[in-house]
Amino acid sequence: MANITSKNGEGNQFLSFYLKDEMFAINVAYVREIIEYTHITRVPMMQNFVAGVTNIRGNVIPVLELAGRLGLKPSPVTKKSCIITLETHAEGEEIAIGLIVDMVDQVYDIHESHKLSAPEFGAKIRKEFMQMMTKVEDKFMTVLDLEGILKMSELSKVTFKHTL
Amino acid sequence: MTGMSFSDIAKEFREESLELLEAMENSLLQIRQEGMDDEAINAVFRAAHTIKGSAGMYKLDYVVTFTHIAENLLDQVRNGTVPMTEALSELLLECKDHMQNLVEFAVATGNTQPPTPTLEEATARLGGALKANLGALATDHAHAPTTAPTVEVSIVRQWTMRLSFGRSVMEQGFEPASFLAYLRKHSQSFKAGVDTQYVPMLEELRPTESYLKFTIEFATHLNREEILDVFEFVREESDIALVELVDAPVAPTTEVAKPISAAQANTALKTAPAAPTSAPAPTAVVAQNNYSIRVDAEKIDQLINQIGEMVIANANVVQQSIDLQNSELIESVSIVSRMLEDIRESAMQIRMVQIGETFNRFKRIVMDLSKKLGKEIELVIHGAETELDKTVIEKITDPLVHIVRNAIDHGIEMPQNRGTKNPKGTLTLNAYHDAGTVVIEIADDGKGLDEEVLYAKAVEKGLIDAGAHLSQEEIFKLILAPGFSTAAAVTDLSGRGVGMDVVKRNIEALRGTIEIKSTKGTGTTLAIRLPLTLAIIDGFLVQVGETFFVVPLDMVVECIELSDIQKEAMHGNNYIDLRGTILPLLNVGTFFGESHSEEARANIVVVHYAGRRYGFIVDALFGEFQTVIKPLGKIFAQLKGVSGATILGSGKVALILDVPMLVSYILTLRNGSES
Repeated sequence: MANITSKNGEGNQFLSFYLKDEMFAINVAYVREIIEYTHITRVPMMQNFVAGVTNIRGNVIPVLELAGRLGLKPSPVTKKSCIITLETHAEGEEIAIGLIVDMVDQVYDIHESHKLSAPEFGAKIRKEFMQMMTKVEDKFMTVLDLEGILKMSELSKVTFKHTL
Repeated sequence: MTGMSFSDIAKEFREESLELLEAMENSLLQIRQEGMDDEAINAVFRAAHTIKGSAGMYKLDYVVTFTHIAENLLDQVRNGTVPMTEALSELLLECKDHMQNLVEFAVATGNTQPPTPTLEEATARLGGALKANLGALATDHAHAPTTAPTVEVSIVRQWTMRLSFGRSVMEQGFEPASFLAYLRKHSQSFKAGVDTQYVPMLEELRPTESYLKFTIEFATHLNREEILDVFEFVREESDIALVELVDAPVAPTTEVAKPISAAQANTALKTAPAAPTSAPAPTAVVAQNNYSIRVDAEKIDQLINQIGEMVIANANVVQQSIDLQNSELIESVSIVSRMLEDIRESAMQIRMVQIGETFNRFKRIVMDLSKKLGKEIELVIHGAETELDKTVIEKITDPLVHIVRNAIDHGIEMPQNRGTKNPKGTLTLNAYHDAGTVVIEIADDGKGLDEEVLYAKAVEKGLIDAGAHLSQEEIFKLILAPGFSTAAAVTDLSGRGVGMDVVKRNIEALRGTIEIKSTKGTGTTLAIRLPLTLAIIDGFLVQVGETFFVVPLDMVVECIELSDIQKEAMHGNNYIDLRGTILPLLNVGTFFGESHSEEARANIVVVHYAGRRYGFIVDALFGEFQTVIKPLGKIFAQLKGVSGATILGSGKVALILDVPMLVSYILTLRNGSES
């Protein structure tokens, strides 16, 4: 646990957002932009948390239901729902991907001294999804580990329904 | 330039070198086929020379050393001291391969490692062979060429040239006198004066530097470009002033020599910097009409993407102008649409390259293979100028190599087994455009496919049941099935693990098809039909539930409404009676798990694939749609049934149906693997 910041890039700035009323954050180094929730075309035979694809300035970008991906219950789309688009490398390839969140909050500077390692057990979400914990305004905030969340072998699974 | 590290330019160096090596190979092959030719041997020499030059610039010593030996010999071949023979051209081809290996090695290692022992061994072996061919050092340029000189009529002009080479010309590995000797060889009269006033005192003189200036009066049939081309490699550092004496008698004369090829002039245009401006040019520089520039393919892709976006955005504008019912606006918008269409057409044209270059590669393959197998084969190329998308060409090359290998290995017989046919076999590569697609044909006049043998083999391999009835076409297509090989033994030529089934898959990935025509005893023709481009398809837009899908239009045969009566008659089966034939159906909505009521699905898109018809049940039909294909992200890599996406005029994303995959799914159902 010596150097938890070495994972998931550099920088101490984190974008925080809500899923229901729980606060999460991701390293801003990966965030390309935040857009309003827009029409998403469902792609068949994918797992439930793969919301589908959407058109972002002429590019077709896959979008994940982040709550679903974390194993939480997705909330209905509201006016505050957003898509955070990320640009990152996954298994050697550059990928762009969108995450649906319930509401975007703000960017926090988190100093080394405030970084806490993720709990060994007891969290709702899988350990490989958590990079670390921190405390803002006296509330715990989970910094998500994008490497775990965007693991291609898990995302690309198809659920083939042989029903006709 | 010298400050640049090798890794910065490794990619460019490699590309340039490979291009030159390819030119070298083509010219050598041309010499083999058509006999010695000044133009061709010059091209070979220049290729070697340029590679040596750029390798020297980046201190690729082992490339320079080897290429230098080859260059020496080529120079002697070029001025006729050493005769070109079959054996020599073969050696030179081998050297070309070795140069390529050296270049690839240098690029792969970033010139940080010495060559491997294998490479060293090849350098020593080939270098020795080259040296053995090297004649006595030729200084006599008047020596008569061994090939019959061509007689041509051309215009001789008088020129005056003031020439001073760059100080470092010799350090760069050039011999200044050789340029003058070459120029003299191509001149009718030649008078050179030397200006020695810039030669320093002995204590300051550095023997490796060049201090002489020349004034040359000469008469030649070469034009201005061609004269300057002689100095192409030293032009950057040299000071050349060339003036034509216009009042000199200009008369057509018959003379013995051939002008430097236009191709060389082109090379000069591409690589040489602007001509020195020190002298006003009395004669106009001949404009080259096939001037070309090298552009990063990514830039073109980006341009095409952006134009694709404009087409999409424009479709939106068109829709809105129609909604507004403003006829003037509609008119203006339609003009823009037309122009946009033209722009897109032009942009797509940029990507189009002629297939000839790819075909030319087969000359070597055919030569090498036929020699190895002891067969005599002539390669005939038609339609080399046929253009298709560069990405398609890149992806089709390997399958073509495989098919050609197969044709040579299994198709064309040994000379003694060819019966009444010409003992020399013919392999024909042909390309042509046909109805918006490109057809590439590989035809051999070999033994043809034997239906009975194929059938027996397929039964033996368990690919078909004994007694199954197959059409001739279906039997031929068996050679494309996985695990099918008719060759009794796997030779080292074919059967290297890349079977015809891989070829078939590659071609299908390009949305192409293969047709096989064959007559036992007279030969086989494989026709590969490919789309002109991979970026855009004509699609047919349908809706299933909430989702829009595009079916590639060339697969759509017709659309029919599924009447209640027909639904009744289905009795839960997945087929209907279409004008007396059985049409297997796939309910796209159910297949993709779209939650929607069954009742709404009342339309059938009839597609044809692999010679059969299938029906897709969908909700609504929207008609033709120009589809700019967008790749789906990597996370959809395992998804079957959808091959890509596109963006509709509304900005929504539609999915492109992968018809072959869906059809193969229907087939598994038909075979009873699913109830």
